[in-house]
Amino acid sequence: MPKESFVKELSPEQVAEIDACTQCGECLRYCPVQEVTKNPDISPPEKLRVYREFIKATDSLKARLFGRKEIDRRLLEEFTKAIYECTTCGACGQFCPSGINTQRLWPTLRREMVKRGLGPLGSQREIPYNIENTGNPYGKPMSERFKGWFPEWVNLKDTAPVAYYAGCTGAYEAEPMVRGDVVVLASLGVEFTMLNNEEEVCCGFPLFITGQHDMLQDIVKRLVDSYQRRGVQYLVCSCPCCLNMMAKDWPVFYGGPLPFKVLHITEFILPILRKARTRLRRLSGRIIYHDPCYLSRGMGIVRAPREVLRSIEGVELIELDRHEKNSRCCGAGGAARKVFHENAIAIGRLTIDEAVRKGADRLVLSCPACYAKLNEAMEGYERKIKIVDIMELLAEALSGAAAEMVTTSSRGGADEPF
Amino acid sequence: MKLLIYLVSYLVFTVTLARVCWKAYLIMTATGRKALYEKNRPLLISLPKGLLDVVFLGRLFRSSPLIWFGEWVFHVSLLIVLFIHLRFFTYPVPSAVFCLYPFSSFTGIVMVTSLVYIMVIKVLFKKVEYVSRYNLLLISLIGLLGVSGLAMRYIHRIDIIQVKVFTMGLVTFRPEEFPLDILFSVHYGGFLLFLLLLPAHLFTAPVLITFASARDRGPEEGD
Repeated sequence: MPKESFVKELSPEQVAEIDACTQCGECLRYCPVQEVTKNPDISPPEKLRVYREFIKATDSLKARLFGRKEIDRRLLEEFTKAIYECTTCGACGQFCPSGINTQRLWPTLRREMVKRGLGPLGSQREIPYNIENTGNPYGKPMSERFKGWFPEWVNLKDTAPVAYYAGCTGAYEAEPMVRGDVVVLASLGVEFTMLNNEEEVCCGFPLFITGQHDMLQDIVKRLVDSYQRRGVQYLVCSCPCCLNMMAKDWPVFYGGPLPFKVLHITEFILPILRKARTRLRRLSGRIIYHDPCYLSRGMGIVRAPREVLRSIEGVELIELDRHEKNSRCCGAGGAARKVFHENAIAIGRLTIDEAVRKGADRLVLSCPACYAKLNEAMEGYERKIKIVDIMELLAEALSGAAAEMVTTSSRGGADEPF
Repeated sequence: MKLLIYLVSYLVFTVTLARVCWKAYLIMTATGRKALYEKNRPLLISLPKGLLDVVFLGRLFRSSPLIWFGEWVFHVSLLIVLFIHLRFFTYPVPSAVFCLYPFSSFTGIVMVTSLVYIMVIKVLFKKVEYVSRYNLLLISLIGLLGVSGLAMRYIHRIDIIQVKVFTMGLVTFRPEEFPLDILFSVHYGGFLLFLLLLPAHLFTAPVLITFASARDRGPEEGD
């Protein structure tokens, strides 16, 4: 296996990307892992240099003519660790003078390491087993997927043109966020459907990002078919990682274009919200919005969340130094947060520090992984800020009947259908 | 000796060409799956912006204007210097080469100065954390080529006719005597070494910058 080709998993563009790195080192200034580890050996240009050596040993003209060289096992293991320590936030690619799309490249290199039996690392290995048995990467009971957060007063349709996908991290680790999503959709009068707790399984992102692709085709087909049976035309989702998976990789594993359109919840509700602006209750305070990497750099969605926030009267929206597509990772990305926990916490605290320093009252997020990790990063930390999801905040601002229903329901009361 | 130098030269040219062709083959035959993302802007629409990014190194400017200044000046002056070198490999010499010839010394000096500027900025101001040995080697090599080229013009003038006879011999496959001059030997040897170390990003980066431009500009939210 060490002598096997290293370009098999790469697309033509990615083979070119491996060579395109000029090793200028500009990306190091933006890499969150570098910010907290100060270890150039695991930096983006070093990883690309090492991978270039692998390709040289197995796929160069010399190697093909005179035989492939064996690659030292220790070097392969070190590379594997470096590639999994990355949060795959893509900031290195965003600032890369050569335009290398690293947010897509790192997962592909991880896939190559998985094929060689070197990846994934630690608890990431349990992800396929957990998904197979419980439908989610955390191994939490399937029956509890919607428990505790799904508002009882929200009526779901059996079939509808609009479907909402909660996602595993939202459902199990960032409940206020997915609760906010459902409340906002219902409050704005959207008739929507959802798969039940046995049907709505992981979107496949944790498998994709850790390079474990074996189950992906089955999962994707199963989910797409389920939504198709419900007559879905728009699949709405708030998790940026799920959204990336659905928009970019589901078509690949499904084998063609999806029979519905995938939209981020802010994109979907924005036109409805513009009409419903009068129903929003005035809030107050300074809010600071953190762009999730997979929403901003991944999907290019930076305007819609800001428009949603600006539609709430009374709040002052301030920006982090690095915002929109240049945003800094929260530390939770790339499934690295479970294995490289200390890095993730240290990175998360950089955002908390800045938000506190800028005098924000609330740090607004729109990603369940950021939500869970930043809350965790604040545990035992001297700096504190209230963390709120964008839809949670919007739900708070929705006035009249909707707002009342949110309050009633959060007390665990009314089952009045909306 | 004459034949040996020609043999080594042609060997280096062949290896360089084979390397470039092999890279192109690897790229063209790669079979990895590519994400199908319909929301990226079509390449044609973003092409003008992409080309501007390539010509003016726009992505580097957005990341680091200080380094950008040095890099852009370096790349442009290198391009002009290479273009002016066509006078050694063509007969008759194209008029465009003649037009730029009066600037050749100035461009050479600018090229070497820009390399020094880049190093100074990286080491002194940016306290660069990542040092690539390959990059250092390339920069040193180009610096050596630049300095030896300028020295042949100002300090130790060499017989330009003899050089032209040799280079035309290379182009026409009719071996001629190698100009026995220490500076020219260093200059030509450095050039052959540079070809062997030729950075692949010269070919791949312009294409990828254009793709990146399409990514940066799209998607239009709410479309």
